[in-house]
Amino acid sequence: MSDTEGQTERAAVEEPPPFLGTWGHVYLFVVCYLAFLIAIFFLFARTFNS
Amino acid sequence: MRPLDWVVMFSWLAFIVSYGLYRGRGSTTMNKYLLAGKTMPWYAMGLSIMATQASAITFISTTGQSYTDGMRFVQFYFGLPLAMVILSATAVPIFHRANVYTAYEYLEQRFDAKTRAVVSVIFLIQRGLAAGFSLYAPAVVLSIILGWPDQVTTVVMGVLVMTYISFGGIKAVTWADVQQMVLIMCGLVLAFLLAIHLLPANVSFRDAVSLAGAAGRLNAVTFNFDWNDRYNVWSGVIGGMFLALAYFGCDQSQVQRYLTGKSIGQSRLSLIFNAMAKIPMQFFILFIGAMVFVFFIFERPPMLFEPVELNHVRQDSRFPAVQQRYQQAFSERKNAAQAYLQAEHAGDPAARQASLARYQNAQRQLNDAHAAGERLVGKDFDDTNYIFLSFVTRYLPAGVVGLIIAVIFSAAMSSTSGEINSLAAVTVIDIYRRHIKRDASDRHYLVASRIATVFWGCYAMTFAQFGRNFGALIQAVNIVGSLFYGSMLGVFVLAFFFKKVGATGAFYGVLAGEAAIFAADLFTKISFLWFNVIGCVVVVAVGVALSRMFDRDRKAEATAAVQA
Repeated sequence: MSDTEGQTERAAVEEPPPFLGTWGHVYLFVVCYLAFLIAIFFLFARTFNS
Repeated sequence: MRPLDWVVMFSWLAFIVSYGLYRGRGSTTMNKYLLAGKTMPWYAMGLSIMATQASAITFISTTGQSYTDGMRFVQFYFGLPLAMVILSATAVPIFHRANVYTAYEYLEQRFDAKTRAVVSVIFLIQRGLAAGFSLYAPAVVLSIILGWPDQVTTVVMGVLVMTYISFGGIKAVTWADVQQMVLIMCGLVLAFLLAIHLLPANVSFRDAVSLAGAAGRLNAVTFNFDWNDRYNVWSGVIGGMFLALAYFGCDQSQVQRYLTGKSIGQSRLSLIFNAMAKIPMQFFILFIGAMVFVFFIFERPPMLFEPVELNHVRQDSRFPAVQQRYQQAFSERKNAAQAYLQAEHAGDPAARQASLARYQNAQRQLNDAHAAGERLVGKDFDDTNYIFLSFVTRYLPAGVVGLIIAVIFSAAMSSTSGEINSLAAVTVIDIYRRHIKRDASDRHYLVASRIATVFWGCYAMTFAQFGRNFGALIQAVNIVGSLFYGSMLGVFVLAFFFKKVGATGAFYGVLAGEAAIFAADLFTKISFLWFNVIGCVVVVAVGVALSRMFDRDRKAEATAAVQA
């Protein structure tokens, strides 16, 4: 594994996400996005499924 | 298939093999071959994860499922974003810091060699079966459409995949997957636009959606809870989450993707990308199926979509009567659909209600007539997988047909390549290097990895060659993931979250979890999505209980291993 020692160190470094500041915020956003999708699909099904 | 279609299809296949070879060059160490030297950006990993997950059958079968049963299958994916969040927060940093080639290597760091071995063997069994099925299932469908023997189709796909992954390893797999995923999305968008374009001039997109909904094809969300119902919000969110946790957290074919990331952050982003994109993509694929359903309201579909069996049943003395019944049912549904649209446009609620009842009744009559046609072939015959390709080959223009067939090939190849590469990784890292030859050179293990890749490719092709003889087994393979994933997930849950649990509890917990899943499969009618929950809970419960009995004296050792 000697060819990857530097890469391994780099890989183990925590880094912030490119948006929303922290990973916790990103995860919360994903959960809200899922709730939004389920709500949209529910409304879609209720509107068109006779 | 017209000449232009063949040109498009073979050009794409030639491109993808060349591209895979080009991007996979320089894979000269085991780290580069199995982990791409940990250089992959998030978007490549994300698209590759999606491509591996989306097999050819996903596209062929999902559209057909929407045609016959509506869009409720989309709920199967509702647990996936939650699983991605949990894995991003837990598995990704743990695997990266453990500096492992495979997920199972971590289990030895955390527990012991026998726990690693038993989980590795479980993976090889279930993924080995799945790899053969990934080639066999689309090959059968494509062969009928292309007019080739299915053995030829499996060999073509298998050899093409082995050509680039045996040389380029995971880098070739990942970058080829990126191209294949782009083609898949382009092909699907094109198929959707053409399905809308081919509707009669007096039927708008809004009308098409209305007709699909009135026939119950847009039933995307159901809140009714039923243990035996595969697809509702609850089974999707809970059962689907456990399945996705197991698949993305414990299955090497997925874990290997995000182990190739440049950093923890890049690997996390690849999973978050999947969390955001997967459900809309599946919704879109199902919606295409619903639009194909509407197209066939106005264009009479064949009584059976499977052309070979349709030709066989033409010889049956009962065929003319069933065919006539089918044609009458089709005409009635078409007239009822037009009456329904007229009532909708007129804005008359009473007429709308009456025409809706007529349309839905006509749909039931047509379903019955189609089922009568299927019974001419045999009681278990189902032509759902041929609906979408029947639409593509009969109605789409030259060139586009070749493109869609290339999409199906791409989906099959991207799934198979990821599976074969991960099978090779586990064979070499967790079995060969751990138990057979421990201190060889990096070059030796690189060669072993290439040989293992070729071995698993040949195995998948051989399995596919004999696939026809395993009818009942094929049904089992469909749910094979859920037969094994629950206990695999359970042992990783023990590893990540139960620091006091030691090796003995983990090992026997896995065995108990497998026993519980097989018991649930054999003796209950519980939907397979719940097997993952059952297996995981049993492994954790047994693991914790046994550890309290046997592993107290190893507590300090286990805690130290986790901290390390």
